[in-house]
Amino acid sequence: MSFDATGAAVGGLQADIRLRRGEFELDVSLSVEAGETAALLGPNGAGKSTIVAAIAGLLPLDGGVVRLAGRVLDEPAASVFVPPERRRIGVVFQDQVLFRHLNALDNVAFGLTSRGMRRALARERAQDWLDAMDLGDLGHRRSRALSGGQRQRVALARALACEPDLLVADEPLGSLDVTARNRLRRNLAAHLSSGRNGGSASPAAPRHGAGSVPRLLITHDPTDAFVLADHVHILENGRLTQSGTPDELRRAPATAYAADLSGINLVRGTARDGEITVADDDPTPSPTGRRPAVVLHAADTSMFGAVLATIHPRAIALHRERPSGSPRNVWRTTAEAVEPLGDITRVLLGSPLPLTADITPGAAHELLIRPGTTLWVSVKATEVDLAPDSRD
Amino acid sequence: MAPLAAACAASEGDAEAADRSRATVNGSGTLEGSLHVLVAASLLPVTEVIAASFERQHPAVEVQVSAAGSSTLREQVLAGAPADIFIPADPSHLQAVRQEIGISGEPVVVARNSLVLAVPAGNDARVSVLADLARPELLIGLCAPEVPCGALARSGLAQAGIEPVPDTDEPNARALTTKLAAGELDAAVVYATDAAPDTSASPHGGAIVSLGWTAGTAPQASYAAAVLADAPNRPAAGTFVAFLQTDAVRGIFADYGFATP
Amino acid sequence: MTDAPTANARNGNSGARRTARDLPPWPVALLACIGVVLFALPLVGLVARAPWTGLWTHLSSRFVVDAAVLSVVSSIAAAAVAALVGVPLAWVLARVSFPGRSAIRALVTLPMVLPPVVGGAALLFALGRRGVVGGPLHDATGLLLPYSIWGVILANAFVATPLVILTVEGALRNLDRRYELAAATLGASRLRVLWRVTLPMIGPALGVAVVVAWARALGEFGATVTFAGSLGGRTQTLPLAVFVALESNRDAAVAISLVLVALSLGLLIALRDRWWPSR
Repeated sequence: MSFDATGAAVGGLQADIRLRRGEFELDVSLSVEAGETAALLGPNGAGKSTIVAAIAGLLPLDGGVVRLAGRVLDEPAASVFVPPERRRIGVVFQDQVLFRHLNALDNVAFGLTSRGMRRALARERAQDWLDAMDLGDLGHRRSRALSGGQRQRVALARALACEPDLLVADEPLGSLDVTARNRLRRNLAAHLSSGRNGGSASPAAPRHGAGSVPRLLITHDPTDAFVLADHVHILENGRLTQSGTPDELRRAPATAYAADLSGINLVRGTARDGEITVADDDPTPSPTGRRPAVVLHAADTSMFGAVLATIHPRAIALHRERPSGSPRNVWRTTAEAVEPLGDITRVLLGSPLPLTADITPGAAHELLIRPGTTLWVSVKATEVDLAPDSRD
Repeated sequence: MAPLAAACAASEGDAEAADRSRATVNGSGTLEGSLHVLVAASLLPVTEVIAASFERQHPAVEVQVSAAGSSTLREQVLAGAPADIFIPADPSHLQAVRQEIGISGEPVVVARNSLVLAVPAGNDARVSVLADLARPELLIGLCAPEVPCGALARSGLAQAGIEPVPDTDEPNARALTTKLAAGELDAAVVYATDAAPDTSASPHGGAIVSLGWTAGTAPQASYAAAVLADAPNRPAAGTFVAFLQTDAVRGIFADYGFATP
Repeated sequence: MTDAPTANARNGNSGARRTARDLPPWPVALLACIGVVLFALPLVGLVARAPWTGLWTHLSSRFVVDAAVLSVVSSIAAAAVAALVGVPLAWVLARVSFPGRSAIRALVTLPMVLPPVVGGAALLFALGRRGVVGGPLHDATGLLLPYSIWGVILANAFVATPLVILTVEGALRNLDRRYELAAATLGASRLRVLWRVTLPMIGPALGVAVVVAWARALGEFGATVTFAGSLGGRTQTLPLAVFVALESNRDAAVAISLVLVALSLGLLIALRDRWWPSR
């Protein structure tokens, strides 16, 4: 990593955003380093869209500075404002926003011809991008003839084809149903990380992946943030309330919202035919030391190799007796801690698989859960979401 | 408005029949009911004055005057619009009416209107005689040959040996006087009633000045009044046509620039 | 709207089976039928009066041919002017917020509600030989708009442009702004965004707007006759020809009217499938 005269990292994004929109006030400082994926996670109305607009140049700042790859893009104090078409920021919008009147190939070529590239050459490059996204023979299709996942990849290719200094993905999975979300999240994870390792030898190397481009993911879904991002910034009511790695946030949530989000269970393992053998090097600390091998069953049988399984804390059911019925994943464990968090009670479970479960205070009372209580855990196979584990 | 009113009336046959039964002479011989008179557009102002005068003599009669282009009115009459009297700008319009609807008695010419050479106030183009209508550098307007004022003007000019070079053949006399009054034409042939020899007396506020007909006898339009055979109020209609021929009404016609037989 | 329901709706319409939900409630059906009759009746009247045997003689007369050529040329030119002026104006009205915008919008759509004769007279007082602007213009250059084809085109464009403005402004307001924002983040200049994204995306609405403007110009009478006058071969368009023919030769008038109706109806039907927003 190199640094410019002011000490700011060259290649990354440094944004100090101060904006007033009527009653709403936004004051956020965040940075994304080259090759890093940062997630901006927050509920609706927290100001996520305003931050996208400010960074992309669709909304001028009232105060602060946006700096990208060593260039100042917006600094009211210095009367600097670079319009969006000269910012070199690729944006993947919610619903993709592909140009309906153009086919997939021309959508991808649009940015290249806008920057003055000859049409024939731009189409050639665009075809390379479609090939890299496994869309090689769909270039002639208009967006309405593409599936949600294909549109997603076209949108990503369109944003990346311009070789932007920053990739912003605004709720890229926002409009999809749960099944499609899980599938496309994997897809997105694979393409966001492609080129990251292989191409660092030459500056132009990450030809057909996000590579070393800093990536900012805007989402309201903690699963997206925790699965896809290296760094998560939690935005509430126009302010960042917490920043850190997904593991840090999970261990020490600073606000009730963060606590609710950070209950998401992430389990690393190896998948084969819907069976996930949980890895020994799981970073989650266990008071009992080395754990025996645990196998989780997932409804998704399409994944093989290193995966990240996500289980929502509300998807974990707790019982006093061994439950009968359909759940594929049933095991016995011990409650290690019980935390009342308002309208939910959070139970931290111990060996063999440390998980966080959120149940109603009524249920907690009924089950008489205290630290040390022996419990049966059940999780439906359909509640175990899988994503490729892209971590080094 | 007139076609709309006619259409409404036509679609309300029952109400119309009731109206007819009311439009009669009552026991003591006085006229009553409504009287519908269709007149050529150029007759509208004078007819309204005449109608008011008639209503003072016959308080039980209400005279309704509708004005439009003669051919438009003819079509309305042929289509069955309820009317008592029809006074077009050219007696030829009465032929089809006589054949298809029928006319009670003979049409009577009640007024005549001469054509004149007219110029806008100021006469910037220095027009003085009818022969100036053949000067190509001037903006000349006539009525279209298809309408009475245009046909009449052309035959009058042909008799005088003048071949006009119009820049516009307006579809009616009203459109022609509008352009002339606005000064957008240098000269035009219009009805005498639309222009005045001295600027203060012109109906267009002095904007149109008459130079008269400078070559022999001026062509004249004849307004012939006809009582329709199916007139709902035939007694009042007959009385009105007779009224049009009285000296008092001739005086009113003259005040408006019309000649009378 | 997602793509799937659209596809379903299309399949449903093309299918032979009709469900009860496709049929309108009876008051709607009744009023809709009355509406159709209202528009169809005048057409029936025209066809009933048509002089079918002598039709070609009427239509091939010099009088009609001159008027038809003038009408086609001037209405196409007027539609082009309407698009050229109307689209930028619609863009400004849809996208730029400025004081007096409502007043400007009212002003530019005024010709739609104004009697055309009033519009023509106003044009005459403004751009005629003695007009506020036309006077000095004529004195300086000798240019005279009335009594020329330019006057006809101007009068036609005057009444046709508001149709373009209203249609295109509506389309621009309905267009998701994010398409333009996406184009900007891809490096497209504002003009390129307008040319390559905005205009193509409102293309169907723009097409409808221009066709409707053209049809309006083709049928324009009042403003044309008042501003440009009426002279065979120079300023007498088909509607003016119909009007004067009605005075002397009703068969010819009906024949010309039939041509006007057939021409407009044919084009509107032909373009409907391609350009009318059927969604």
